[in-house]
Amino acid sequence: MATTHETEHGGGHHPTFMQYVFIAVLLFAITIVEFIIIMDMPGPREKVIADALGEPATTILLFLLSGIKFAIVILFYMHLKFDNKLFFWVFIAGMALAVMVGLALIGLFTAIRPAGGGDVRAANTVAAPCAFDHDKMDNVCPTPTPQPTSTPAPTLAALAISAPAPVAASGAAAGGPPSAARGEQLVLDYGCVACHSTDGTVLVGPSWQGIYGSSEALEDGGSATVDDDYIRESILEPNLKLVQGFGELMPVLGVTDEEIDSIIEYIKTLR
Amino acid sequence: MAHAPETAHHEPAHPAHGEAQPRHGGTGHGEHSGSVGHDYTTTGLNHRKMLMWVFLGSDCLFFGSLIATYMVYRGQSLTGPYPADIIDIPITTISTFVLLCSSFAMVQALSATNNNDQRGIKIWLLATAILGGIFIGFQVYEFNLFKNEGLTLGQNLFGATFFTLTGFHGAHVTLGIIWLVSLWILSFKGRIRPDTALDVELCGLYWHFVDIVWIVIFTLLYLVGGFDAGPAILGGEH
Repeated sequence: MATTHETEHGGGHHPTFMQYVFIAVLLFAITIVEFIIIMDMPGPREKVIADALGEPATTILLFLLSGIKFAIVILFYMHLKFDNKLFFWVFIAGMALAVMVGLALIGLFTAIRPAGGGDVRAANTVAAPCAFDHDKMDNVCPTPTPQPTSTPAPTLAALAISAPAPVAASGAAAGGPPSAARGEQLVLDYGCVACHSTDGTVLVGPSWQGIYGSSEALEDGGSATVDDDYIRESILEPNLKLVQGFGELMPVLGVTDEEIDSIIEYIKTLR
Repeated sequence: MAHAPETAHHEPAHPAHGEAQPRHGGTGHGEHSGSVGHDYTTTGLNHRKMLMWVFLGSDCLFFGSLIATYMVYRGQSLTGPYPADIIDIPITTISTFVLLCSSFAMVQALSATNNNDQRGIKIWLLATAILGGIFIGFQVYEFNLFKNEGLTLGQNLFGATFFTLTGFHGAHVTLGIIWLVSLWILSFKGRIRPDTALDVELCGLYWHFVDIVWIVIFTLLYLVGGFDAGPAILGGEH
C-alpha cells in the first residue's frame, strides 16, 4: 500500500520529484542572483547594479529575494502549503513575534535619538545625566559646570563621565582658527573623553591632564615627548606609539587636520 | 521513534475518527494519516508534529533576538577587524548552496520513506547528513580564519554578535546531523518505514528550519552587512 499511497492520495497535494528539483533549482537561481547583485555593492569592487538602484533599493531587493527563498522552503519543503493551517499559524505567530521584537530593539537603539543629537549610546557616554521631571513630563538636563578641583572617585559607572567645562556652542562650529573651546566640543562629539580623562584619572587611555609637553614611556620600550606631532600622529594612527600600560584599543575616527589643531589647543590647556 | 503502536493505522476500532482525519488535515502531510490517526487530540492534529511546530515558532524568537542584537550593534565596533575586512562572500555562497542541497536531499529522504524505498532512505538520509557536515566544515574553516585575523568573541561588538549568532546556528546544524545519523542507523534495522514516516518528517521540519534561518543570516550578515567598515556612529557624522 505504501508504494502506491502517494500517487493515490498525495499526488494532487504534494510536489513530485521533478517539482522538487525545480524548487531546488529556483532556490539556487535566487541565491546566484543575490550573489551577482552583492558583488556589485559599494565596496572595493565594481558597482553596476547597486549604482543603478542605490543602496536602499539594493538592500530591499536582497530582502525580497531572501523572503521568496524563505517562503518557498516553508511552503513546499516544510509542506505548510498543504498542511493543516494551524501549523502554519503557529509558526507564523512565532515568526511575527520574533520580527516585532527585532524591529523594536533595532528601533530603540538606532531610530530614537535624544534631544541634542548623537545616538543613545553617545548621549549615555558623554552627556551629563538628565533627571526626569514629573511636573514638566520631560527630562531636565543640567548644563555642564566646570569642576576643576573636586573629582569624584572613579567607578565603573562613572567611567565615562568626566565633567567637561562649558563650551560656547558657536565655538564648535566648523571653520575659523583652531581654538581650545572648539577642541573641547570636538572631544565630546567624537567621544574621546569616554576613554581619556581630563582630570588625571586613568581610564581606558592615558589621562590628558598635564600630558602636553611631558615625556611618556612607550609600550615598545622607547619614549616620546607629547607635542603637536605626537598628538596628531596618535589620532591618525593610534596604535603606532602606545603609551606604556595601554592597549591597542583606540579607533581611527576620521578626525580632520583642522579639527586636530583645535584638539591640540584644548589638550594644551589641561594643566 | 518510540511510537511503534502507531502501526495501528488500520485499526478498525476507530473508523469514524480515521475518517475525520483527512478533513482536519490531521496528519500533516497526509500520505500517512494512519501513523497518527488513532491518537485523539482536541485539534485532530498529531501531538508530536504540533510540538515540533510550536518549538520551531519559539526558536524563531531565539534566533530573532540574536539577529536583532547583531543588527543593533552593527557598525558600532570601535576596533577591527570589521566585517569588510574578513567576510568572504564567495566562500559563504558556496556553503549556502551546500545547505540548500541538503534540504533537497532531506525532502527526498522523506519521499523515499513514504514510498518505503529502503535504499533511497539510506542514501538520502546519509546525503543530508554529509551535506550538513560539509556546511559545518565551512563554518569551522571560517571561524578559524576569523580567529587568525584577530576576530574573537571578545574582540569587538561585531565578533561578539557574529559568533554568538552563527555559533548557535552551527550548533543547531550539528544537532540536526546527529538526528539524521541516528535515523540513518535506525534505517539499517528496518525502523524507517511508511508507518514511522513522521520520525523522518519531524527531523525534516527541523532541518529545513535551520536552512531558512541560514537564509536570513546569509542575507543580513553577509550580503547586506558584509561590507560594513569602521564605527558608523562615532566617525560617520563628522
